[in-house]
Amino acid sequence: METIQMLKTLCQAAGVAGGEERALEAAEQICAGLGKCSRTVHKSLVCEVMAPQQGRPHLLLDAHIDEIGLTVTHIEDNGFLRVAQCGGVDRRLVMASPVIVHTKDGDIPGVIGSIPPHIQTGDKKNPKIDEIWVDVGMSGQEAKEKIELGDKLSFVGPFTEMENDLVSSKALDDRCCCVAIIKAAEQIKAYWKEHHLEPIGLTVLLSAQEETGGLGAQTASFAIDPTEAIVVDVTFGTTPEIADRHCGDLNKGAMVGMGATLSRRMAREIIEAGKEENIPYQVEVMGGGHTGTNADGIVKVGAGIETCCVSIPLRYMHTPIETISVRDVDDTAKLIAAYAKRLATR
Amino acid sequence: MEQTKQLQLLKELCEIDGVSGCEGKVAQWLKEHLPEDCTAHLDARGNLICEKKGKQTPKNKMMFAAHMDEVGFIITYIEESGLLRFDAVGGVDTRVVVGKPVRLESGKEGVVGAKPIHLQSADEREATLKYKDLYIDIGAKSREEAEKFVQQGDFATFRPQFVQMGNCICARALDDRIGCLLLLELLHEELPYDITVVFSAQEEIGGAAGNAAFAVKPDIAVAVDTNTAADVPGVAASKNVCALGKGPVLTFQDKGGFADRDLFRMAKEICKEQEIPYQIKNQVVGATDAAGMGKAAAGCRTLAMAVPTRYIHSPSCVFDPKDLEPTAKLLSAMVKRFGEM
Repeated sequence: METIQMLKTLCQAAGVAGGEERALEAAEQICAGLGKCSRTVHKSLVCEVMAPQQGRPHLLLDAHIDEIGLTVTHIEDNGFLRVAQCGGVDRRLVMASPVIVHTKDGDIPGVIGSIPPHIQTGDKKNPKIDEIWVDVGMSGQEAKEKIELGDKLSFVGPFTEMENDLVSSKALDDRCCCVAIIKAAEQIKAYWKEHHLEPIGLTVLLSAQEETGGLGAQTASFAIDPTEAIVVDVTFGTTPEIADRHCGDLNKGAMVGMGATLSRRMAREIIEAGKEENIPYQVEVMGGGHTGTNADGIVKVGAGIETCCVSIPLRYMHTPIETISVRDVDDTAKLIAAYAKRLATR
Repeated sequence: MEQTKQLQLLKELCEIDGVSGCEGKVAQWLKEHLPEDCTAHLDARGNLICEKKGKQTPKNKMMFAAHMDEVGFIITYIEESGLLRFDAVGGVDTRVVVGKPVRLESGKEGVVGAKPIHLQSADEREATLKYKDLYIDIGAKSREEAEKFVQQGDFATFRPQFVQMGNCICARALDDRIGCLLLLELLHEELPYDITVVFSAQEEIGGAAGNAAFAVKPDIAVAVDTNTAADVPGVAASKNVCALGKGPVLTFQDKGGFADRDLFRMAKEICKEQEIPYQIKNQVVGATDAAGMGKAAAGCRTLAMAVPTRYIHSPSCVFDPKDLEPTAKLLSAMVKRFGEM
């Protein structure tokens, strides 16, 4: 499947943290030809691309399948839904946002309401999540019949193709990285087949619940027990407000993470592989001893797992209009594949 | 009119980009949908003035107005980086703008970006953004590249949506394409008296309906608009302005001035006699074309009526189609009653 088509399919599927089912189904269809797929207890998708071999490297590629969203906490007698957040929702931009309520019987469209400015008193404020409500255009009775407490809500964010291979959508965090690792795994598998190389293990993990703490990746990686892991997540792409933070530029390749808990050996080899094969990359220094990605959980699993981070720069993180470059997704896949090739002779 | 057909027309209307000052496409669509027995012309300010003959010419000339324009944006500057700076056209709260998909006048699509939540300070999370902080990203990497799709002064809008949401419709620009639809339907009716319908321009930035009224010289002018419905949590019924599903809203006073007391009372009487559900706007907020029309030339008697709509001036306005029928019924009855005056 073309990268852009895969992005569109995965991003537009719903998969709020703790309610990843729809996105998992879409991903499983895509991964069906790649390897044996299974689900973990916490609803992550594991795809065994090449079976692990005793005494040989076993590379785990992780990207999280969940997206930020909301969960129904209360239904008012007049039909409005009260909600809590699943992951870090930016409350500056929730007003008038279209959402979808995912119920066991199907999807219900809604919109995040707010008190109209005409009748607000005092200074304008960004509403807190427990102050907003979701309007589903129903009476209380209807809403209570159709919607259950705990149902998840995803934001509506259309897939838009922009200039310079940029695309915008909801859930690009982290579905674009899911696409990158699936593409990388395809290339690695094909390379091994073509060159009849000494087998290694290769597992793709599309992990659940990253946005709410990383439970999916931490538990799945214990079960998978790889010898090393590459965590692929999005990072901040440069925009005017954060121009002073040395963020990544879009269309300049993946960012290789350097941080206290991350494997320096892997990062250096990824960079060398990129140089050798002329694949663009950028360096991201992840300060403070943590990365804010699944790597933080995976390094600590079991007896510890050698882990590094590769990130795709993304503008407007945690909004329904997240923006990335399709070219960066392809280059990220190539960079990971270039690194994996080196494992043949290990 | 059958409701499916009615909502299909409304959908078409709401999907046309028509920011204040750029209503041409809406006017064109309306012209194409006018009945044959109706004359129409555009005036200097972009109002579409339609004359419809009834069975008789009334003693008091009647004019009905609904505005074609919607709130939106105007591109103020193109950065060297290819990002577009913009300002609001009409009252658009920045809180409904950040993080939304938009469309430029050229049709090019873009998004309104924001600093990620992870990098916001506690103060930044509280502070509402200002237009000077915002920009539209179309993916262009330079000013030169952006200029292929946009020029300074071009308009932009929220991208259209039109969703059946429970018993309601959620869409952009319901304010005031609902009014346009209702007056278009009125023109298609066989009427007892002559009327003039004005599909007006620039209401959201002050209104051009006054110029049309100057030319038309009505004795009675009625604005058909939407009113903000605050029938939402945390707002007492006494302060909710109006509520969805309770019929047309009649206004005795808003920020634009007073309704003519007799017309207001007559409208209520019509509703009572014909068992049309109606409600009275319970807050003195907002304004309509009634203000401009009442001031034109030597002045005329005015009345404002509206369809209750939640979250107006946002990409996601919500209304209950159940309110269309009683509003249409009231409009037809007004033509008769006011014509008899």
